[in-house]
Amino acid sequence: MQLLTFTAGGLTYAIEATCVVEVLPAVPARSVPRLPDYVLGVVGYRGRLIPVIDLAKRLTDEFSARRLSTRLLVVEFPWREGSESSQPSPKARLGIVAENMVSTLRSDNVDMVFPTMHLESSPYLGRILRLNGQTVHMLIVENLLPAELASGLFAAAPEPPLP
Amino acid sequence: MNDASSVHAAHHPTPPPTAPGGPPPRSLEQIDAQLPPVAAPADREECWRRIGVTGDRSCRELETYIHCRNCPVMADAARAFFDRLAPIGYLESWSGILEERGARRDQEVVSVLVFRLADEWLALPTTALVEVTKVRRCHRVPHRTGGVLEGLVNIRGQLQLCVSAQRLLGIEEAAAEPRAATGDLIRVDDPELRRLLVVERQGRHGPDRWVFPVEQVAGVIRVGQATLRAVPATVSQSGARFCQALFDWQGVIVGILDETRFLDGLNDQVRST
Repeated sequence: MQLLTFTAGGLTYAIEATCVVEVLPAVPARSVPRLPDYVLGVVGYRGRLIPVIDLAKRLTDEFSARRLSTRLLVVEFPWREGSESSQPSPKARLGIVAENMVSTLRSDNVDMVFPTMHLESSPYLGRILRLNGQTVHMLIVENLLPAELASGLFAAAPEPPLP
Repeated sequence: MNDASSVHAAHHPTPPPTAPGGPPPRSLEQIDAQLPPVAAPADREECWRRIGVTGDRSCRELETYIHCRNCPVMADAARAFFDRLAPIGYLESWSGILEERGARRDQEVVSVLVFRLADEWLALPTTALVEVTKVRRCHRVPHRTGGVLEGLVNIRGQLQLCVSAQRLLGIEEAAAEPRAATGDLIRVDDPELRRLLVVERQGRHGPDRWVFPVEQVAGVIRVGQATLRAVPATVSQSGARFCQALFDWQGVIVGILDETRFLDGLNDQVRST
């Protein structure tokens, strides 16, 4: 399994590369009022607007530092329309701004694993892996946004209007 | 990451700086040209330029890493390169690039596999194709071979009908000398390049599979519908009735086979005899 690594608050986190759509320069977002502060706003992305969150602000108290290595990661957000249907909406895209998004890791030979904690306060934290002398905390992308916020951001996400 | 706090303090949440005068750069080359040269850390001094692959190659690590791009020293340097502020106007110019819809995909594109039978370049839609494989022995079937049917071949442990598409399409044997004068630059006459194509469609009694040898496979290409030409009605070749369209590719005219007509033709020829 290939992992895309990045940091927040000086610690390394990772997501599985399979849900990555694109890694882009962290373009400025148009902020949206009255949303949690870790939602940076919306960004024009390939003909539509997608919501963007700041991972460092989500996990710690600080925003991501604005450097060239701080990049915008576009992921497929496995948001399900309604609770019953199991079909993920194919169009849901989430932008995640995180620091030091410059390398990938292969998780073929994981030395040690700390299992997922399933904490109610931080459901997005997955397993902690120790591999090649690095400690990497996996993130569960679909839990990065609270369900209410996710449905607000994605339920109303229709097809881009025709010109 | 030890300088992270100072960067935070200095650059967040101040609004992004506005681009200086002049139009914002639109292409990546322009953006790259605006990046300030990176100051190399003193302890490394861009060793890849001195003793690495762009230098005299005397670095011992090259035995291990083969190329500097695999070396952790270069990876560290790359990390240091990215560990700085974005130049003014860089992110804003990317906003413009990202907002554009991706290059509008031509919806009307067919993906075809181009191959050669004798002197003719033909193509089959990849939807009908199962695999391209090496030529193997064809077992003749007594009293049934001689026409279009060549025999049976073993494809992944299953015997499949092997046919001669050339005979079905009525394509004559290749001319004795290579037709270099026709501008056919992709043609290579080499028995090593012969391949077997396996095609399939859903028939009435399950999948309907056929195997036929070709002289050369040029590859899978995508053809816009707009570039297709109709098959001239005056073409005398009997093979023309199996073609649905023609297109020009690398100086040759390629006929796209209509897979329904082609496979129907095979069915008629083989099952009726």
